[in-house]
Formats: sequence, C-alpha cells, structure tokens
Amino acid sequence: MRRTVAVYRRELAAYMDSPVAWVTTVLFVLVLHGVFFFKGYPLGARQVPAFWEGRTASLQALFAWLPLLFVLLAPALTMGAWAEERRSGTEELLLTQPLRARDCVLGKFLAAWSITAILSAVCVLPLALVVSRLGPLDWGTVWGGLLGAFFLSAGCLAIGLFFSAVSQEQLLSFLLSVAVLLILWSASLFVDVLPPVLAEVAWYASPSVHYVDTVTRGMLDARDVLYHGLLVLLGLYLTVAVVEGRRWR
Amino acid sequence: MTAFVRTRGEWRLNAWLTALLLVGIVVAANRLAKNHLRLKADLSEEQLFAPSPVATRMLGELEDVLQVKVFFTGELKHGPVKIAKGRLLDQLDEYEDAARGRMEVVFADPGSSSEVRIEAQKYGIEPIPLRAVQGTSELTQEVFLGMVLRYRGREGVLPFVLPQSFAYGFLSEVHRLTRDEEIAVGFVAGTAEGAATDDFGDARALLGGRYKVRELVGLADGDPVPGDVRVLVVARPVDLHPRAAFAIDQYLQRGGHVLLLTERVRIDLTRLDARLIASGLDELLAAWGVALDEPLVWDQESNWLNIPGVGRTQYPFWVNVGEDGMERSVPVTGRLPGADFFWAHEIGATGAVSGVARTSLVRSSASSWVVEPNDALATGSGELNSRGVELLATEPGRRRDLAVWLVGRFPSPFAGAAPAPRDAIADALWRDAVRVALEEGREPPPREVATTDEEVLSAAAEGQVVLVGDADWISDGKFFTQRNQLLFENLVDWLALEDDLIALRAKLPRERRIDDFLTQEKEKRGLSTLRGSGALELEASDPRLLSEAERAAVLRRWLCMAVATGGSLFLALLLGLAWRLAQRWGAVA
Repeated sequence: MRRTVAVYRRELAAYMDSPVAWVTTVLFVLVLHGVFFFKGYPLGARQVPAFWEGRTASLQALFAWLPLLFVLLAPALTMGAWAEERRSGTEELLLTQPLRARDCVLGKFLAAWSITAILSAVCVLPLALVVSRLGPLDWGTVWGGLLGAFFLSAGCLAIGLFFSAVSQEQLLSFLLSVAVLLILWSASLFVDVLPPVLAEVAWYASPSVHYVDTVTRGMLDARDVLYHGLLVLLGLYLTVAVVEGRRWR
Repeated sequence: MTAFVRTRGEWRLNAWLTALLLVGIVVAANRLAKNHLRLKADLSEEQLFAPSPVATRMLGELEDVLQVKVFFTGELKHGPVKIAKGRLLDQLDEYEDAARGRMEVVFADPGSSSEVRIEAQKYGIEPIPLRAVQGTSELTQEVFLGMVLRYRGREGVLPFVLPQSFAYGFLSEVHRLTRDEEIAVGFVAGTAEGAATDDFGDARALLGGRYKVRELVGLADGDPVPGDVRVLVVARPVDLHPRAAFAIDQYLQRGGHVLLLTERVRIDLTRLDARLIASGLDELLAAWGVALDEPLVWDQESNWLNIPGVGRTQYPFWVNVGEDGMERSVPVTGRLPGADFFWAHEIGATGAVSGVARTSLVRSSASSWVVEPNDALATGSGELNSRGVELLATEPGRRRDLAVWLVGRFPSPFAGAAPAPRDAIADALWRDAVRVALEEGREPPPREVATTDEEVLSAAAEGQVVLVGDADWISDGKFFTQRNQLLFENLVDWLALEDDLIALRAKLPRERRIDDFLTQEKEKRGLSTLRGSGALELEASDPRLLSEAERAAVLRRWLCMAVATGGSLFLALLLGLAWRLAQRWGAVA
C-alpha cells in the first residue's frame, strides 16, 4: 500500500505540475458549461434542451455530455501514463524499483481518477449552486450524477491506461483509447438498427447507459456499480499483465 | 502471478488464460447481475424510481395467489422494444419479490403458436405492428406486449404495456382485483332523463376501467341515488328536474360524495354562439353557500386557440392552470402539474354556511378577471389585446376559484317540501311554454312542481362535494388533456376514498421552472403586469422600455453564466494553490 501511495503521489504531482492539466481543466469547464447553457444534449433518444431554452432547474444536459467528454478526457490524461515513461526511458527505472506492477498501475490509476473526480466536482458544483439559486434544483440527482461520473470516469481511465501500456507512442495510445471508448459510448445509439440480440448486448455494454439512464436521474443501481467496477478491474488487470510482461523482456 | 511460472512463454500463456477468464467472469457477472441483482437506491427528491411503499404493501398483503399470464412476443426483431421488454420483465420480477410467493407469472408467446395468439386476442390483447430496421432492410413485426391478471376468479387485462406506464397500470389493476367489493360510481349528465347523448364518453371509459359506472336516468321520476353508489358524478346538468336535484341532495344528506361539474354558458365558436343554460341546481348551490354566475374567467395564463384560416391566438378563456394554481395541502391536487379549463366560471360565495367548510382546490392565475360570456366570441388577437388592456386598466387581476371542496353537514333547501316526481305531461308542456316564450323574447314561465310530505333529511350526515365551474374539461377529444384526466381520476378516487390509487398516481416529477429574467425585468418596468396577448399591446406602446428590459435580462443571464464558469475556474485555481502550499510545507517538513 505504501508503494502504491508513493506512485500515486508522484503521478498526482506530475499532473498538477503539468500545464496540460490546467489547460484541460479550463477547456473542460468552458466546453461543458457552454453546451449546458446553449446547446443542450441533442443526441439519441434522451434529448435534453439547453438550460436557457428548457428553463428547468436541472443538470441533465450537463450530465448527458459527461460520457462523451470522458471519451476524450480519459485518454488525454492516461496517454502519457506508460507511453511517456517508455519514451523518456523512465519505465525501465520504474520497473527495476522494488515495486510490483500492480502497485504502479494502481497508483497511476488512482492519481488519474483523483484528477478526474476533482475536475468533475469543480465543474459541477459551482454550476449546481447557480442553478439552485434560479429554481428548485433536485440535489439528489446532482449527487447521483457526480457519483456516477466518478464510476464512469474510473472505467474510461482503466481502458485508457491499458492502451497507454500497450502503445509505444502517446498519440497512438490516445487514438486507440478514444476509438474504443467512442465505440462503447455510441453502442447505445444503434439499438434501432442492430439485430435484437446485438442491440441488447450493445445497449448493456455501453457505459453511458449505466450512467445517463439511471444515476443522473438519481437512481443508484447495484448493476451499474458492478458494471463499472468490473470494467475497471478488467482494464487494470490487463494493464498489470502488459506491464508485468515488460519485466520479462 | 510470477511465483508459479519460470519461462516467458509460460508467463504469457498464464497471462492470456487469466485475461480470458477475467473477461468471461466480467460477462457472466454482468449477465447474472442483469437478471438477478435488484439492489437500488433512489437519491432523487421525488423518489420517482423507488418502489412505491403503496405498491410494496399492496402486493405484500395479497391473501391469495395472483396469477399473471404474460403474452409477450418471444423473438423480437425491434431492438428498442426488446430493451423495453427487458425492463418490463425486471419490473415484474420486483413485484414477484414484493408479493412474497403470492404472485405466479406464466409466459406465453403468441408468436410461437396460433392457439396462444387466439387466446391473447380473446382477452382483447391485440398485436401492434412495429417497423424494425436491420442494416439496409426494413421489416414489420406484429408485437404482443399484454398480460392478463387473475385473482380469486376475477380477471383484469392490460392490452399493451410500456415500461414508463407499467407500474401504475399493473398496480391499479391489482388494486381493482383485490378489492372486496366493486365500487359503483353514479353518473348523471345533461337532463338526466334518458340515454346519454353527451360528450363524456372518454370520462366514463376512464372510470369504467376501475369502477362500475352506473348511469342514473330515473332521478326525476322519483328514483333515489342507489345506496351502493360511492361517488356521484354530475356532469353539465341542464334543466334538472327539482326531483332530481332533491335526489342528489338526499344522497348528500346520507353522507354521499358528489363531484359536480357545472356551467352557466355553452360557447360554440363555430356558430359564434354563447348560450345560457340553467342547471336546475341553483337552490342547492345557494344552500351550500356557493354561487356560479354567468361571467366567464379571463386568464392571461391561457392556452392557445388555433382557428383554421385565422391562426393561433392565446385565448384567455382557455385557462392554463399551472402547478401554483393547484392546492398543495390536499392530496388530490397536491402533486398534480396543473389542469386546463375551457370557458370556466368563478365559484363565488353567497355567505358562510354553518357546519360546511370550503377549501379552494384549483385557482386561476393572479392575472385573472371575469367578463361577460359574449366576450368569449372574440377570437382575433387584436380584439383580445385591447380587451386585455381595458381589463387591466379597470381593476387589478386576482386569482379565481375554479374548483372548490365543500365538506360538512349541508342544510337541505327542500326541508319540509320534497318535490314530487316528474309528471311527464306537465313537464313536456312546461318545456314547450319555455321554448315559445324564448322565441317571443318573453321571460320563460317558472317550473311548477307539486310537493310531497315525505321525510326530508337535512344536515343529517357529513357529506362531501367537489364543485367545478366548468364541464368542458372532461368532455371528449382534445379538451380531456392528460392533465385533466389525472385531475378527474384523482377527484373520483379521492371521493371514493381510494387513497392508494392517488398515492400510486402521485409519482409525477415536480415542475422545476427557473426564474424568468425577461418577465422579471419587464415587471420592474411596469411592462409585464399583463402577460400573454394583452402584454403585446402594452409593450408596443413603449419599445424603449421593452428593449431595456430585454438587455437587462440578457445581462443577468451572462452574469449567471460568468458566476458559474468563473466559480469553477476559481475553485480549480484555489485547489491548485492549496496543492502548491501543501507541497511547499511538505518539502519544508
């Protein structure tokens, strides 16, 4: 555990010291608030009008966008986790330390997860306060949406870490993660045109279904928690396996 | 993992096998969870998704086995319907759990055999044709999603169910089946003297789903309201014979519950006709301490009237009652989003009646006035605008009672002199005399009715009346909006003491409107006291003030956005500074 915490602190410091994290934060806040106020969520079956258009005290439009933004944010945060270590030659140094691969992976994951969680909270809470001043906001759905965002981001980050571990280049890692997350995110949009069995699988496999349909409306379902938990477990295990494999080279 | 392997090949094999095993576990665990894991917590304020306590209690208290035969098409070709079916089955599972072994679900696939299909259709479960797109091909499949419920020899059918409406449909059917007695609702409409030819078919059908609806046509001939009638609905009474009014009064004296929807004017916009009607219940209303005058409610918070060739106009006689117009302290209206009324009358008061309490249930907006019925024939926006400005100049608007609840021991206006049953010949002669008098422009002669010396109850038992100054809102077609259906069902259930049904139906999301900056800014400048069509007239008179209000509203919007986004960025900056300080102190330490 001590070793995991050491890696976690090192990674967190790297994120906090990096200008990229700050630029990402500003962009994330501006984009999310922009679409919330002006655009709404125009995709799929659950369309939500923009805040000024719908005139309803609810953060549904913002939460509906989060899965898609995580498709970009999680790979951006994790692409350097292993690929950058490899490029700069610190990977070998790290792996020769008395650290188990799972300590490294878990530390890196927790650091990225903390950043995403802070970013989500920073983005949502001031907005929720403003909206609650304008109308009767249901805070239960806000906490639900935030909790769901933490789960959702964990799954996305685990997938991002895996692709960072298998890729030689940061860009490649980013593109692969985005492609896979995008496929998973959009799976639920194609249930109309897929054969019924595939439609059911695609619908259930999509992380956004386990977020937008339930927890953003305030319903915390154990199936969703299990889904995200297993996704994280799978992603982290595969990453550990890949990192462990490098020790054998 | 490395403890048991010695070569790289072994390690790779081991890693691959573990990864495959893990993928298998993930898929299997999700599949198992999807079908069997039922742990949920509802964090929302309204608890819209949590199993309702009423539903849990209702199913937990089943004394016998409830059999549910589900007629669902097995092989669905339509993806979204397949997902909807999965959700329905989830809900059924939850109900099975709540019933603790007293609910038996049997599945039958009408697509698999013609016998099952015929059986389903025998129950009135018809297939719905649905188009499915698969790749580039398009196909149509007939889909069955119905079910039959059986309990102690009684049957109930849900012909087509959807996840969003399933809970209420299923549970209200269970409620109906498990009731020991079938509750009767009496229905009186028009003159109440013959077969119903009115426009309340939809309302009757809605009630018929849960109650035994009894058409009462012999009240004027001396029949009393049957003792088993739990609620008496009187819809748009016209020239009711005094004996019929007496029967209603005596039913109330015996502790009856009456839902009276009455009006003084019928507006026909196609013929531009405002016809006065007499309900025959004026004496009764006066005894209850209420009055219904001819003027109609003009409300700026109104619905739109669409006249072919003329266009859409906001029509102040089609009152759009919002959430704030529904009395919150009473369960019947407490959770409803609003209602729509058409040419409604204000329910006035003739004075307090000892022993009778009055509560307002539905009220118009604060921008309401009462006007003569002929004003309702004007539908042009210009005419309506100028009339609105006139009204505003005359007196400030105020809320008007559109529906009230009266409860207590009502004094009978017939005390000591019960009207005799209808004499058909005398009645026909009177109607003829009225027609001739009206044609000649004379005052119609009064209706002369003999009296009897039978016993008349007065203030005998506590009764309840819900009086609504409009009957159009439950009439067939577009007037019977979804909001009106909810209000109507709630009122009847409430009077029938069916609180469980109201509690089931109360699961409606609360309206969460945000402040309207533009309206507030207009109000600050004295522009928006009158909203709707009339407001256009006022605003047009001072475009400078209007554009000033618009600018102020836009500024406030931008201010809100700046506070939200700036707050987020500021918070991020604070966290960053805190991190730096923590790092520095940590380094010093």
